[in-house]
Amino acid sequence: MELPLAHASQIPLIAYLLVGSVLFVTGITCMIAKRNLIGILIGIELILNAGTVNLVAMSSPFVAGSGLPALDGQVFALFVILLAAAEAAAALAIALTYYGGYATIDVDHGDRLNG
Amino acid sequence: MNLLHWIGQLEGDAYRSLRLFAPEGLVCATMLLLLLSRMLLPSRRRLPYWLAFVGVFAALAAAVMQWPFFALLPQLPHTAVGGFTGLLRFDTLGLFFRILFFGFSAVFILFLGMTRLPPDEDVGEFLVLYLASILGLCVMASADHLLMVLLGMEMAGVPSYILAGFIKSRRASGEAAVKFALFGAASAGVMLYGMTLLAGSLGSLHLPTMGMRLAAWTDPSAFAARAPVLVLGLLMLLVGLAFKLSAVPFHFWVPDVFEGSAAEVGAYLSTVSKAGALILLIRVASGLLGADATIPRLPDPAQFAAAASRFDMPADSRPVIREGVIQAGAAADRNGDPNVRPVAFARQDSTAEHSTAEHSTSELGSPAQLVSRFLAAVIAVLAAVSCTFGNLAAYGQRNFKRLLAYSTIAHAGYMLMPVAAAVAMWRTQPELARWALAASALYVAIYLIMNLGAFATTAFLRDAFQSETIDDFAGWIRVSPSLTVAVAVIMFSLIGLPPLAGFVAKFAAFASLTYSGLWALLVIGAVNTAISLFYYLRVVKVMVLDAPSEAVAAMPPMGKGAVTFLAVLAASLLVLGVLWQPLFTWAKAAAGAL
Repeated sequence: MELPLAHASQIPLIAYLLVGSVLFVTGITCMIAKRNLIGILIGIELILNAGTVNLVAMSSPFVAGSGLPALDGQVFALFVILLAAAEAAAALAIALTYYGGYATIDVDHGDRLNG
Repeated sequence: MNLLHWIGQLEGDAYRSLRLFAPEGLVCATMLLLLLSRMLLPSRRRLPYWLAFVGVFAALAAAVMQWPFFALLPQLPHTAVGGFTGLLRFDTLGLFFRILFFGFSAVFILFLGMTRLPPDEDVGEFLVLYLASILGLCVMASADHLLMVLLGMEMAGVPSYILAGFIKSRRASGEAAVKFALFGAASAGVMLYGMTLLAGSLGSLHLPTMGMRLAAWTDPSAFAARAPVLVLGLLMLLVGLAFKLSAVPFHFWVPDVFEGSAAEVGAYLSTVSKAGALILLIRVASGLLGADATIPRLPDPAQFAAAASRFDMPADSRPVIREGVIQAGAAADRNGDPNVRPVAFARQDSTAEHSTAEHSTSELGSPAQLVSRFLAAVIAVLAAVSCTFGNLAAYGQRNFKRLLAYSTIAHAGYMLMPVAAAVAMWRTQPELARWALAASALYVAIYLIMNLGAFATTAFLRDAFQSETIDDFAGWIRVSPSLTVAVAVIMFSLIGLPPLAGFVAKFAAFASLTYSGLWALLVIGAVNTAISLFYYLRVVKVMVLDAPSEAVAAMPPMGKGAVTFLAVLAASLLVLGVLWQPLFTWAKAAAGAL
């Protein structure tokens, strides 16, 4: 099957992977540096998006050097988006309970359980 | 390739897969019924328990009824049935764990009915979340594709974050849930990133295909170039699994979550949730190391035809894992490069590839051997550190649930030991590797009973005392001698003293270490068992020998239900400690087909 745009993109896979790794490191930094629960959640979303970027680039037929079968990564990415939404919903509900107990969403105040 | 032909194949595949997925389907139906019952019959307070129990019991029966069919599979050239175009892999080991999950759930729901948590008006929600989590564990038990690995982890994880924060009135409960959810989501994210690295370097998301690509890397320089990415990906994938298993260094959430949330939730998190992570680890390892590296066995056509007819399977179509069908067209369309063409999924092909890989080994060994050694080393280190840390940290604990939390960290270590042995022996001695996997399955089965007993004790004592501090239980034997004896049996079994089931489990796990030559791990395990003696015995000592306080002395005896429940668990530990042979035979049959 001849794809009309198959040779349109000259951006190599490594460029996409670099974007993914920057997102990943930003997410990890965000998670460690932020004390606010919402901030940490944003960091987690960034990490998930890093994985998504990798997957989509790796299985795109338009990216030179991609290794995964076409559509595998794209479908995986859709599932990751779904999971991220479910996780965020659960985490926000939990944040609300936490706020009910502590009147703040700063995670440093949660030190009743010392571990 | 004809589209209608594809659709026809997919339809047949989906139908066949759904037959094998029937137990999970029953759990789904039960969840829907629970939600409906909450809406339509809100005044029937005990109804959700009965609904959930009947549903889970039906799922258990459906799973047990599949066993005869799966027991026949090893006689065929293929030891597993691929489900849903190769996303899931149905085999005996997966079925063993699914039966364990459903059996545990049935007992767990009985136990929930006896405690005062969850509050009556929220029982439906609690059970729905619990069953959703079990569904995720079942997906983990049969995952054969990285997508299913992640989906299973999250399907089991997200409901359990909410369960941890279920008692909204307790501040500590909210804090526990926050810690659990944040650590869990972060480890899932890291795991996803690791998966993308692995998938990118091996060119597939399907675990057996990845294993075959790995085995087919005969050129050492190509392997050396990709090894760093491979190692990084594997380590990141292990982060997620170690979190779920509560192995050190990803154990921070365990004591806090167990202390902050209800004992019932701890009973779930410390048992089946861990078993799910363990089977997932076995799945990932077996996929990457070549699950098909076994000697082909001759089929018995008559027996298979009989079994196949019961499951609507055309007797002449041998069950093969079907991802190749889906990917073949796509990849071949994309580029005519013969190297990218997916490998066929027959056993014969894989053995041929393995043999070519072994022939061209460098002085370091083939890539698959290197990965096997690396994985075994990482798992062994995780096991040793978890064991030692868990046992040492359990010493100073005053809160019973916190003590049990550290005890479960230690047990995660013991559980990982046979897996490390199996991974180390995978390429060299497959028969012994399967023995080690059977040992870990046996350990899990017995551990489920022991730890459910320990957490049930906490829940019953909490209902009686409103306290979870060990010292408050002083002199409990004068109030309720039978309950104390049952608790003592459970504690002795957790230590691993003969003639209780805990001893058998530990013995099998340690025996697998001697086979694989992991002597250092064996020594660490033995020393740890001696260390653990003291803190488990302290609980028994406080209950039996210490003088009771006035509050305890004035306490009415425990309810009959609680005493019977714990007595039955303790009795089953005693029976299994003596008559362990049938269970181990079953576990060996389950692991034999991997």
